[in-house]
Amino acid sequence: MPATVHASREYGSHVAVSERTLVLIKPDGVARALVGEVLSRIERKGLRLVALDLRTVTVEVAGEHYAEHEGKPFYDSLVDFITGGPLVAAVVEGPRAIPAFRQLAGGTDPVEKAATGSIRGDFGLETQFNLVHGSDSPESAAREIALWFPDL
Amino acid sequence: MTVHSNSGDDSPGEPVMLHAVGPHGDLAADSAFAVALTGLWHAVSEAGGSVGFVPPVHRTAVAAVVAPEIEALRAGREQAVALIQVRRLVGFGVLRPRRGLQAHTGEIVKVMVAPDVEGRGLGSRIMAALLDKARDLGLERVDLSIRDGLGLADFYARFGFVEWGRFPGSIRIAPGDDRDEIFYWADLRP
Repeated sequence: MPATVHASREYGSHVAVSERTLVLIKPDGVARALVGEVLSRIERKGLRLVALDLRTVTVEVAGEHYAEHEGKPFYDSLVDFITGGPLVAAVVEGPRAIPAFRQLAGGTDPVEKAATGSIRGDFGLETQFNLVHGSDSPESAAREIALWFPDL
Repeated sequence: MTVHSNSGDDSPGEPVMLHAVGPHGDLAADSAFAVALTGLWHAVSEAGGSVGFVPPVHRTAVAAVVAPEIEALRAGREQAVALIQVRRLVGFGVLRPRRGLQAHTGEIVKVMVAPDVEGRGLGSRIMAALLDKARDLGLERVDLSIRDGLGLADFYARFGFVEWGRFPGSIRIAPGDDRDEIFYWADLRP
């Protein structure tokens, strides 16, 4: 099943194409007890949860997930971080779910890029950690959903 | 893709590379580096290292002090070196030049080595690199402070640091276990 565009649904007079995105609440977000806050914002936005799981991720999955950072000389330290505590993985669905969640999350730098009112803008102040991850394109959403939820 | 083992003991002979962090360095002071630094700082703190915490230490507490550190590096107010072995951050240290009437001096802070690779001279490499930076910047005197009771005096003496004072009992490790903060300085004038 294509994970990115899987259904069309009627919203009023126009047809909205629904898509799916992968959301992670990273170990720092779970440690700071922000899971409910993040999920609540996703639901209030009108996005829907398709899958949700609290888990401690394996080195293999973390390595795949951080493939974009493979060029960093301290890459294994990043893998250590994301495997160092439980995180929450979710698949979220809705019209334009990918950009919608990125809007909720805010820019990757919680102070310089993320606007007030976004997850990172509101909760990322005292850490450089950006708390959540959302797929950045339909291609990466398909890849990441297959990685984190192979049975979906 | 290969994800290497987390244990330095598996690869004692692997080379350790020294990097400069920040605007003038080859490693950016970005959020990815912040994540790596938090992991190292947390591991050092949990092992009882003298970097601002007493175990048990929550990673969130470490993250809160890493943020301003990264910001200071990004803004160029501080300079740092990082040691990397087999794609892991295993060492870190900061030189903080002073300003104004003290612009000929600097402070060395946050020197740390991952517990599993201690005893291989990595702390010495960090210190040597930071002192080289200080000389390059024209600093004439550098200072640092340590927590008493860790046996670090001999280590810093090797780099020319001598004690100039102490603040008795100013560091409370636990109720009933107060330690002195000991202040050292080194003369870098030729």
